[in-house]
Amino acid sequence: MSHLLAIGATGMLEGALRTLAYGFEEVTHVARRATDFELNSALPVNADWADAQEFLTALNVALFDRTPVSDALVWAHDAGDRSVMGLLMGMPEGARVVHVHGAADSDPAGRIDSWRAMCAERLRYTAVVLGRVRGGSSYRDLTHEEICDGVLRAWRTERDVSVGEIG
Amino acid sequence: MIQCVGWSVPSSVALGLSAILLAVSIGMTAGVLGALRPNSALDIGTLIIALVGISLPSFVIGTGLLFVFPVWLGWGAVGSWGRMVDVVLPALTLSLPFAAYIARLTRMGMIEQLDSDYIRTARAKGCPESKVITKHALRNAFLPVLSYLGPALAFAMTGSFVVETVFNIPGLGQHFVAGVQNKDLFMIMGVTLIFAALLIVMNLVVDVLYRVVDPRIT
Repeated sequence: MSHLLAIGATGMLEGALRTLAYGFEEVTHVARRATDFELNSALPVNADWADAQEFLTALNVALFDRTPVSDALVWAHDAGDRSVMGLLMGMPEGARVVHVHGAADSDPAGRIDSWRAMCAERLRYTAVVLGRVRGGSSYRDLTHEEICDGVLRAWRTERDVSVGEIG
Repeated sequence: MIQCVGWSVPSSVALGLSAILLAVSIGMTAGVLGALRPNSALDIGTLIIALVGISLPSFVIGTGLLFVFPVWLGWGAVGSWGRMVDVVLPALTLSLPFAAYIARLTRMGMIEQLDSDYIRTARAKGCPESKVITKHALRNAFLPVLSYLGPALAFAMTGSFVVETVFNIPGLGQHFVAGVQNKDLFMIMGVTLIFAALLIVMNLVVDVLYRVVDPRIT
């Protein structure tokens, strides 16, 4: 049984999530307003990663009678680190995690190493780092399509992907 | 009464609009600069200037400006009205208290917005800082300022009698003061009605503009 757990992903990762959701028998979608987001037969769970305790409780209740999570797509800001940490700790061995990091103004290599070390050999951890795109003399932000392409590439290859320029 | 008001409305409208334009420019710039580095010397400096702007009465600021610019430095003329340059000092005097409030509202709004998740997401996606500030944060931080601008504009156009007296401007306020002194009930009622009408119209304009600034508002 394959079970996808998506954290956030209602905005810029919407395209990637919708594409990935087709390939899974079960999908659990956790976001602040997950119930407002129509995603096939996914189980929507409303929870905010800013409050780790509330988030993990909601997640545990939602996953209690479902098959173990086999894959996870995670997008959360630094404020949600504790929630993500709790989530990764509870994932079954051998599960795949694709973690999206923002890095417009600093290289998150150190942070990614910490996350990878935490997953150790228990989880298959892949990082997607979002950068920016140079357009003439200035920079522009990434489009949702560019971000989703990067996530899907990381998902396919299971290798870290940088989208745009970092640093 | 109608003739008197008709003559004085253009002067009051010119003064009020100039003052509000100046207030928005000064206030929003100060508010944004303060919010970008909260509790820095620049932030504290703008807050102190805002406090002074709110606390000092218009006749003190107006007299001070008249003393410094036309009298001391010889720039402009005292009691002159009719040229473009004559609007500058009265508009600046009238704008300072408004600018002070706008600076505070902008600062508070910007600090709140810059700490929001959508701003972090915009930055994470590589959005340039200038765009983060102007397109994302300032747009939402502007809403409280917009609410304040409606009544402020009505007040600036009709309630500037102190500034009009100090700078000898033939505006609505002078007629209001003369009406009170001469117990001219019709004049007082006329000016009050204009103020009330302006207040209603400006609030309506603000409500419409709210929808333009933030399409989510219904």
